[in-house]
Amino acid sequence: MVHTDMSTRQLLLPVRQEPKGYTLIELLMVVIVISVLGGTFLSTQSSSFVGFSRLKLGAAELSGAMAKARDIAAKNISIDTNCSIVQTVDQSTTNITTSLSPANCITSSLLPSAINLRARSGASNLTLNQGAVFTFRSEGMSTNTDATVTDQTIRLSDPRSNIIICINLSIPTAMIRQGLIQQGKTQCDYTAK
Amino acid sequence: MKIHRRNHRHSRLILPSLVMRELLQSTRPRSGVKDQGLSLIELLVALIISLVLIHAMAHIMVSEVQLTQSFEEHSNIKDSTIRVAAMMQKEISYASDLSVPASDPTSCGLNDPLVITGPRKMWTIVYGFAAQNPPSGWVGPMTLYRCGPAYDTNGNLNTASGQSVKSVVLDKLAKASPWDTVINSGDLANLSNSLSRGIKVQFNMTSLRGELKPYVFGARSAINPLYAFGDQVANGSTYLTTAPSACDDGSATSGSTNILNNICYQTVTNHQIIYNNTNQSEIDKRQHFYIAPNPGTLTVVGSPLFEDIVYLPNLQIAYTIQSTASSSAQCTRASCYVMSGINEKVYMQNINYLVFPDAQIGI
Repeated sequence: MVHTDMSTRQLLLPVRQEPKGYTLIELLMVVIVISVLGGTFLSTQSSSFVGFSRLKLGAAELSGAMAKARDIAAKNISIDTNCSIVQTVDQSTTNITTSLSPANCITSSLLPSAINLRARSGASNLTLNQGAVFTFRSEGMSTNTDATVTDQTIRLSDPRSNIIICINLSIPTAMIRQGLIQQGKTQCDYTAK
Repeated sequence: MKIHRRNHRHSRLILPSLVMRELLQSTRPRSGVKDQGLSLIELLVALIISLVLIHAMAHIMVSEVQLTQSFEEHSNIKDSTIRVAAMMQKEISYASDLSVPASDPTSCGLNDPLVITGPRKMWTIVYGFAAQNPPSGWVGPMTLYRCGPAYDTNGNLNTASGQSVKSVVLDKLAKASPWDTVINSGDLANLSNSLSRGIKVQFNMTSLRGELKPYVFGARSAINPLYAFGDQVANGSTYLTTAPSACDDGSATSGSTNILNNICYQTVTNHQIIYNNTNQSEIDKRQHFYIAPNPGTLTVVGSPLFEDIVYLPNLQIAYTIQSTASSSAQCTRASCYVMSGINEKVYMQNINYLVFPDAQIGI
C-alpha cells in the first residue's frame, strides 16, 4: 500500500509543481483588479480634475487675449496718437471682444478675433466674478475712470473645481499675473507655483 | 540481492508511473508546457528594469519641462523689463529734470528713488522701492514701484489732483542692488551738477533659480535744454549752488501790477574764456522771464545790460509771433509780441531769446 501511495504521489506531484511562477493570466488578473480599483478612485477625483484643467484653459485663453491686445498696442500705436485698443470681457456670456478707439486708428485686422471662454475651454459652466473693460495703449494700460486704481482682477471659477483662478492686470504697465484661490481661502495667491 | 530485488521491484513500480507521467504530459496542451509562469525574481528584475527606464524617461521629461519653464520665465522677465523701460523712456523724454536723491522728496515714500519731474513741475513720477518688499502677493525678492499720475485713455498723464497711483511695475528684482541709476553729471562753474537730462538704468532681475539677469537701457529728455534750464531756475533744482536772485533791472507788469519778482529770476555764472591769449574769467548775467500757462496780458521789458530770456509754456507752433499786436512785421528786440489763445498775450522789449519747449528763437 505504501508503495502504491508513494508511486501515486510521485506520479502526480511533479505535474502539479511545474508552474512554479505567476502565469500571464494571474498577472493580468492583478492588473485588472488594480485598474478597477484605480478607476474607481480616479472617477471620484476626475470631475474636480477635469474642472480645474478646463478652468486653467479658460484662464490661459483670457490672459493670452489680454497679452495679445497689450502687445499689439505696444508695437503698433505711437506714443502721441489718440488711439487705444479696448478689450471687453462680458461677465454673462464670457465673450472677449477687442476693438479700436477711435475705429480704424490702426489696422483693425491686427486685432485678435472675438472668443468665448466657455467654448474655448470646454468648461460650459465657467463663470466670471465680473466683467471688465481694458484700455491698452503703447505704454500699457490706462483708465479714464478712477486713476488711483492700481489693478484689475477677474476671477474664474467652475462648479467642478475647488480652486478659483485669478487674472490680475496691473496699471499702468499692464503686467499680467495669474494666481489661485485654494479651497477655504479668499485671497488670490499669485506666488503659487 | 535483496537490494537488487527491491530495485527491481521498485523499477517495476516506477515504470508505470513514468509512463503515466509521460501520458499526462502528452495529454496536456502544448501551451501548458510554456505556462511555467514568471518567478518572483523574474518579476522583480522586470520591475527594477522598468523603474530604471521610467526614472530615466521621467528625468528627461522633467528636464524638458524645466527648460521650457526657464525659457518662458526669462522671456516673461525680458518682456516685463522692456515694457517698463519703454514707459520710463517715454516719461523721461518729457521730463524737465531727473534726480536720484538720497530720499524721496514726494509723499510716495519710496527708497532708492529716481525722480522724474515734468515741465513746470506739472507732474512728478518717482520710481523706487517700498519699505516692505516684496509686498503681499508678489514674488520678489524686490519689486519696483512707480508712483505718479496714471495715463488716461488718450495716453496723457492724468495730472488732476488726487489722481496719483502707486503700483508695482516690475517684479523679480534681485535682493541686493536691484537697480543701478547713473545720471550724467558734470562740473560746471557754480553748478554742482549739469542739467540732469540723461540716465542709464540697469535692472538686475533674478530668476526663480536665482540666476541674475541684468537689463540695461538709456533714456534721455527730449525737452529743449534751454527750456528745461529755465524750468529749473523757476521751479528749483539741485544743480544750482546758489538760488537765483531777484531781477534788478527791467520790468514785468500784468495790467498795472508789477510782477517782476514773481516771474523773473536772475542767474550769475562764471566761465573761462581766452582773451588776448590769456585765460580769463567771464561773468554771465542773465534774466529769466518765466511765463506761466494762461497768464493773461503781460508786458515784459528786459535790460540792455543782460541777456534776457523769455520762457513760454507752449510749443512754438501754438504762437503768433510778430512785431506788435496789430503788425505782422517780424518780431524785433525793440518790439515783439507773442500770442497764444485768448489768455496769453505778451508784449516784449529788449528780449534776446524766446524759449519754447521745442525750440528757441534769438531776436
